[in-house]
Amino acid sequence: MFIREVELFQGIPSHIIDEIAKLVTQESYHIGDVIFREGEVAEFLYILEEGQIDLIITGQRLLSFPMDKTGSVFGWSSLVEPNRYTAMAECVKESKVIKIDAERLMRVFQRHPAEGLTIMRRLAGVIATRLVTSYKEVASKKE
Amino acid sequence: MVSADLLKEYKFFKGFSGEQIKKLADIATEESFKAGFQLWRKGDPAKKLYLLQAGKIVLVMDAYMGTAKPPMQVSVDLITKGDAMGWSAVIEPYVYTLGARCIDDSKAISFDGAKLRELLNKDIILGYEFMRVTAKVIATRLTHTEIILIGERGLSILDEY
Repeated sequence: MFIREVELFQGIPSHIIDEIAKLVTQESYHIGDVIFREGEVAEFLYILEEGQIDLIITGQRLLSFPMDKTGSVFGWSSLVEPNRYTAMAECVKESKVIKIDAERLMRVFQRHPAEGLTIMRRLAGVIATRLVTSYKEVASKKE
Repeated sequence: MVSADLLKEYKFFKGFSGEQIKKLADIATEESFKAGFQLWRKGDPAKKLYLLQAGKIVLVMDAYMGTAKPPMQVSVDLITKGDAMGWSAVIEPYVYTLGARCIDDSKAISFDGAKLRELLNKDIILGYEFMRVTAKVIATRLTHTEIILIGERGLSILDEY
């Protein structure tokens, strides 16, 4: 998968995409692998290429958000203060992911603030979508 | 318009330059609400973003306890002094995702959504900073909601108003 195909980066000029591509590594995970844990310092933004990763939060009950769509973004806490993961990411199907160094990505945003604004706005939208999903879950529990 | 000094007190603007705060202060106004006042309902166009100066606001959703009964409002999150609310005013589709109801006489600094969006598009460095902080506000709201979902905090029904 090319970085420019990821929704978060769509329409971003190719010379900036090239800068972002330098921050990327590809990784493969096996069933049961934990990519990161809740509370850990968030250093990387992840994009799913194939497979399935579940985001899991535990308390008295367990909460699981399955991510199985190619291009799904997770680990956004790496770009949002206080930069700690808010969930555990566990591989539940053989998966390939793209991992981006968040600190260096932020530096790309600072060099190109217009594109930084576009990407940060889309990222806020990603978090907002997860929030709205959570609200629906709260509502369904009340009924 | 409010004074830039007033905005500087808020953690929301920590890291913003004096010039950026001045531009935001120019489009801000102060508003007061009485206890019991409904600021907006879920699904309303998100016209304003607020910073609470004093009082308490609850973010609410409708809960249906039975088909014959009218919906009740349950509190999902509490906004107190210094908190931001109404992030939907800067995030598409610009529609509020919960209701907001005042439970104590409250005062807030408000930013008109259209003016704010215009400013953020015109001054992209300010826009980037603002979006970074907005993402943090949404993430905090998500964390609070997930605490409810994992059973660490219950929902309270608003029956006083």
